[in-house]
Amino acid sequence: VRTVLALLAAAALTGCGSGQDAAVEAAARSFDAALRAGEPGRACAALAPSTRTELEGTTGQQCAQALADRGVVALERVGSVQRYGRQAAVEVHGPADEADTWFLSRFDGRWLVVAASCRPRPELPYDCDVEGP
Amino acid sequence: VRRALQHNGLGLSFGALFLLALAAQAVAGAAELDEQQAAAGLDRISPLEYVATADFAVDVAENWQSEFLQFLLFILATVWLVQRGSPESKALDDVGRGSDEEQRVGAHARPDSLAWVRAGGWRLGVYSHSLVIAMAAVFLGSWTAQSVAGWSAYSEQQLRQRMPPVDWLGYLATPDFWSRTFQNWQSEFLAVGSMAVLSTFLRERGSPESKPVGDPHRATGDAP
Repeated sequence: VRTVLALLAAAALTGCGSGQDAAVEAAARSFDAALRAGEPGRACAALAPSTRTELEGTTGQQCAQALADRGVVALERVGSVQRYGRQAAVEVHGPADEADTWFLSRFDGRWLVVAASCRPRPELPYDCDVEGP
Repeated sequence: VRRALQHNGLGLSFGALFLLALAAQAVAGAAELDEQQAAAGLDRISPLEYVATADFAVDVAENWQSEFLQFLLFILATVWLVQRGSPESKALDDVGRGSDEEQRVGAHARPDSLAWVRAGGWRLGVYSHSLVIAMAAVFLGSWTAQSVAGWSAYSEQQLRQRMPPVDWLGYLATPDFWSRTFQNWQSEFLAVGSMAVLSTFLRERGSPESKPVGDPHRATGDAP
């Protein structure tokens, strides 16, 4: 019984630990790769469904076109990944070291982008060009 | 088996109630978090997934710490503080740690006393306070668990609202941590105080938590 408990604890820690942080960063890089490859359709598939709906609703455009027009910063390097449970924020630095923050959330085991092109505001939620409800 | 069940009725029935209430908390808590996730356009959450979340852990731990703090303080306070007429109190002139003779320790230890009692020294010292040590350990452990799970749940909520998360020390300075703490403490202190005072005047026939129905209000502890 003790061995089983130890294994379960180890599995839980691994599942909730650095493995998930790596999965968050991989999802951010995959979103960026699709944008840089000029495949906004694939980038749209990396967005949370509610974010895609919101983007299309507010712009009146198809997701791919709306996303291309938003000018999301190209990811040069990842500054930090902060993940708590099913939510994460990734600090992204562009080619000229411009900073951007992307928010991701876990959907059925996959990390999807819920907000991008976000700027911090004191005492208020981040101001995001791409975001859900 | 039947005899064993009967002889452990209190522990077993409250153990079963605990598990039922914990399961009910998991179902209700999952529904609440699921509503929050849906409102933010995020993935839905089932009760099974919910029990592995920091939200569930902090809600459990904040109640545990306050219950064990309640017993810890009550056990310690009743060494020195009395309540006239209360069955929860010792006799009015019986305050303090008691003599070695009353406590059956030192030269007054009996052959059937525990080995650690007969051994004296640090073993006797530890065993003399073992109940408080156990309560304090669970209290401090649960309060620490509350702070860690609360930090994670709070930061997750911040991220859900596209706000910055906090570190553990930062969380200890948030109103969330202290609100969760004090809202539980106040109810425990009220319950203990009420029990000490109300049991002076009110009775439940047959319960060891009550004085015999016919006892006068002024009768305190074992010396009516």
